[in-house]
Amino acid sequence: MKWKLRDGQSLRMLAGQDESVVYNDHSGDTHLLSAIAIAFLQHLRKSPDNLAGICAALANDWEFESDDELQQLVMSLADELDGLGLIEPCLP
Amino acid sequence: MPALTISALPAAELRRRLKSDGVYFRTGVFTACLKTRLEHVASSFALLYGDYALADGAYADFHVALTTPRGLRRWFRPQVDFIADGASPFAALPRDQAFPMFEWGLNWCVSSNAHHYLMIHAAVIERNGRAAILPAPPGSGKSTLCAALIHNGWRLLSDELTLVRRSDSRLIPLPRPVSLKNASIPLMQAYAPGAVFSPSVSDTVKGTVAQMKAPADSVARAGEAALPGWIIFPRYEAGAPLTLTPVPRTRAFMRVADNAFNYAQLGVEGFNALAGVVGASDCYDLHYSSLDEAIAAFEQLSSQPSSQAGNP
Repeated sequence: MKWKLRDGQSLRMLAGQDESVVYNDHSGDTHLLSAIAIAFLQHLRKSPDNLAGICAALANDWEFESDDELQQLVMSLADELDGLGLIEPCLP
Repeated sequence: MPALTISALPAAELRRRLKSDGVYFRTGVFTACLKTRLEHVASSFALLYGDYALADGAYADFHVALTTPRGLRRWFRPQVDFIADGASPFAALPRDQAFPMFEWGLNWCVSSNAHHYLMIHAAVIERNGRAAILPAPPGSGKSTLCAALIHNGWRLLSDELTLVRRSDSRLIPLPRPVSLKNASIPLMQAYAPGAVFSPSVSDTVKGTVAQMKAPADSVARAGEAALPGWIIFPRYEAGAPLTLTPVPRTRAFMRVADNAFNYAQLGVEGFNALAGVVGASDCYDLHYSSLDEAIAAFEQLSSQPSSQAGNP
């Protein structure tokens, strides 16, 4: 399964060093998100991707080990961002 | 030719207008019309609003009236109603609270209607072209600090409502009397002995309240918008040493959004306007116990170049 930015999300944000404020075009809410969550969203802005691809991109950008721990983090972020209506699953 | 001000009206003419068609006057970008037959409101209005320009014509953004309710009650427990554009949004109050009710009611008129601005519950003052926004909950010392600063070289934009123009995130003045309560009243009377105060009114929902007249220069410059420069979250703590702690802009954004009247209603335009303000501001938590120390801290901030200098 792949993930993509939810249709209509423009990712307006006020960027900070460790976190950013993001406007949710879908709900009208404003979220304070960690830098890794922002990196996740920025990756999907380029194109939809599956969890393995997202893990690889984050591991590369953040110099993480691409291991189970990262996979758990990415799965957890996907759930959270999906719950906020910022991303959604899409067909491969 | 400068507009006539309320102080140009002889006392009898001011009262005649208040009792008949009302007094139309400019308060920042708004025109208001006040009607009342209550003498203590007329005298406080004359005392605190003398520098405000009279408005021509019969148009007003807000028509407000302070009236005595009909009925037997008025004979044994006199009350006052605040009427805004024909409606009574609040329960009646004891009649001696009529002038504070006018101030609260006029703030309510703006905060309920001026949705073409992002409205933040915060004091805002300006010096050298840059404004400091002071969002804070009641009891934080916001108005006391604001009152002290406007008697130390800062221009009053508002002690209660920060209006952000959505098109360019500039701050629009709404200089009105500064509302003080309880211990702040004698404190400011001693601190600024030249300032003009309304009579104190006790036993209101906020305790004892009084209004301090806005400086004439601030009223005269109500047409000059200001660039945001700082967001400072003040908190008075008896005996505390002064601390000025930087706050990340992201955190400041969320805190200011929580203090805004209409951030959620404005949607993406509210986000863009607030991002413009926060992005142009240096943000701090200020804890203080001494007004003089706090004013010195503001003085130091205003003398430093903006960290935003050179940014697009």
